[in-house]
Amino acid sequence: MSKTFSLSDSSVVVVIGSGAGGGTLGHELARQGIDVVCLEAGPRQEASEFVNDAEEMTARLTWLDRRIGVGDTDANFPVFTCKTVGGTTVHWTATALRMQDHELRPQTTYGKIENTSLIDWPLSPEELAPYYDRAEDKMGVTGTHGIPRLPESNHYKVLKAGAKRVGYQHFNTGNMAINSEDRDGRPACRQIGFCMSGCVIAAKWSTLYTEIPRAEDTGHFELRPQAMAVRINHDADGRVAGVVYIDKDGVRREQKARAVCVAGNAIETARLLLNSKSDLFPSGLANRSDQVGRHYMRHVFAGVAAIMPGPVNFHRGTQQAGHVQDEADHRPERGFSGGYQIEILPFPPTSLARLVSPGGWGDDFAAIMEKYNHFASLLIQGEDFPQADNRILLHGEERDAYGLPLPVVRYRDHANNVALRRHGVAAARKIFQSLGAERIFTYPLKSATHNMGACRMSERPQDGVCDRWGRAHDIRNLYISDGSAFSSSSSANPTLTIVALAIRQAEHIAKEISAGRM
Amino acid sequence: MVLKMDMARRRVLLGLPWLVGLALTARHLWAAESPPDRARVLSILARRLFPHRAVSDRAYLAAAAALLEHVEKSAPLFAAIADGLRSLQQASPGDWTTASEQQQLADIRRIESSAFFAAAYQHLLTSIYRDPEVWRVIGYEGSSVEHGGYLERGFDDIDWLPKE
Repeated sequence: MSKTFSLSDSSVVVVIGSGAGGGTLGHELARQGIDVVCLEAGPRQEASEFVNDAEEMTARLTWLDRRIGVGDTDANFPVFTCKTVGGTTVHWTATALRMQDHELRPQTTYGKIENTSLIDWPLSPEELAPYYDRAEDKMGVTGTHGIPRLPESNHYKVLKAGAKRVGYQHFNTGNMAINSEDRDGRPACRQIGFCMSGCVIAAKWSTLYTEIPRAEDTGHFELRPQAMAVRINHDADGRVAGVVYIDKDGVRREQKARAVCVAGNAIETARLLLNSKSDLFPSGLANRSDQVGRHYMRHVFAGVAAIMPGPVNFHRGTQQAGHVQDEADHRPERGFSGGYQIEILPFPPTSLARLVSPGGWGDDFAAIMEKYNHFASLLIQGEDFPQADNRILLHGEERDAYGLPLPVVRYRDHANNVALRRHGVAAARKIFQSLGAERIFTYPLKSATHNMGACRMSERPQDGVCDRWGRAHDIRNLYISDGSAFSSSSSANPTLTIVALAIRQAEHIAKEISAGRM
Repeated sequence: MVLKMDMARRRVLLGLPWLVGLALTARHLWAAESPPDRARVLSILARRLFPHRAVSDRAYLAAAAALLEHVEKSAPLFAAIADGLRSLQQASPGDWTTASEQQQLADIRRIESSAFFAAAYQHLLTSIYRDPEVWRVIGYEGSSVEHGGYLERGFDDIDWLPKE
């Protein structure tokens, strides 16, 4: 059913990336009859090939090409992203939260905060709401549209009991893009416990087995796996005209295009634009205002794990189906701006061993590990404010296997992060202490899984890379289609917003094409 | 007896770098040691690092073997491991693997900041905590999809939480 397009066919829209942004956008365009070539750097691996082995799947799914971290991030592995068809939607926990209204207006809500580059989103919460509705329906998000929530696991029950004891009121098994009942041709969750290793039964939404095969079924979509985009070319008028990529055999090719949509997950999206220098765009594509790569955000993360008085078996069941939202609002009296989510987050033994007592060994360490089945663990995930110098850069000398300069991820914690993290860690400790936890461990998470900003939407071209549709301020047929386009991070996991924006962008592009403007 | 001769021969060889400068590489040293000795040293190290009493020697030997296999493929790791093994074996007057536990722990603490320790630690940790025998001891159940997940196998069986 999948169509094949010729390299010289300049009527296609080229979408770079097949994850939440690219996979969704590709399907939404193809569904409307627009021809799409989707370039994905990683290989196609079907869900049926996945195994319940966290280490093996991490090796199979992760983007392992070298990246350099500078500042408050891991120096050798600053971000954790995926290199596989479906992108991070294969690995994600499937927590599908909307940004709160005030989080879409951070500058208005929080006022001036020193050393940040806060802006409001150039689109209103009211404009985004219907697309959140469509995204939730597409993904089958529990707790929305009458879809029942997932059942309560042991790990969630620990969170719930502790949350009640400390006086929280808003907690549940989450808004999860994981089927709580058979839906949309995919089965209900079996509480397998390996969401982040790729859902073998496809109960969890991933573009790998929803958007991509459906796009192929339209006859307007071609997926090219193992195709690493290395450069976007433009014509004499400064409109993008094609994408150069290196295919699975190492051959350099160029696919012509009527428009290009970049969804490579913030680091690769910014890197691709920066690497596409030309006489007309000497500092990289869409970078006339020197905004590409800047305002890079992740979430303010901290982990708190505890040995509980009885067995929890947190490895059993949906991995992140447990949220408390009482700290997600903006209450500056807490000593910081913005808010944070509290979400359960279990670990397999190898990860727990590395996190709870880094470098630990000996009798005490072994005693901790022998309590593995008594562990509960919470993730604190707070809003991260944009800073102009938190950015993606190209390394001066070092090149990767494709011959491209290595990306450098420069990130420094804002003082607000430090205060938020301290508050969040204390809140998680209280939850565990209220239930008589035997030992509590706090650990940093230095490799970011949520990468946002770096090519952000802005009203004014001098503040960002793209407009309210994700269209580059400088180039009318170049789009940003992933979390790079976020104007702010909010405290919500980014995927639902990426999908909502992709649906909205596909509508916009279809209108532009039918109006003869592209 | 054979073991003693091996030890003596190793002592001589291990001393050589200091006499002949850098002429003798880690790879020469490696060749001078017998594979079973290397595996035994590393397996004792693994047990001292991650001492689960109920776990058999098999798991620790397997972790050591996996590390040695990996070492063969990486030159920097090879040098670090060879260096670390030499350091451990020189620490005790006889066979390090039969030294007292206290002595072994003291020796490990002494090399804790070495490149050898860092490399060995990560590899041994991964092997030990991926071992199904270790999982049984710590209470991890591994792959579940072939059993239909935990939906009917205890994902919600917690029984000690306060009622309200």
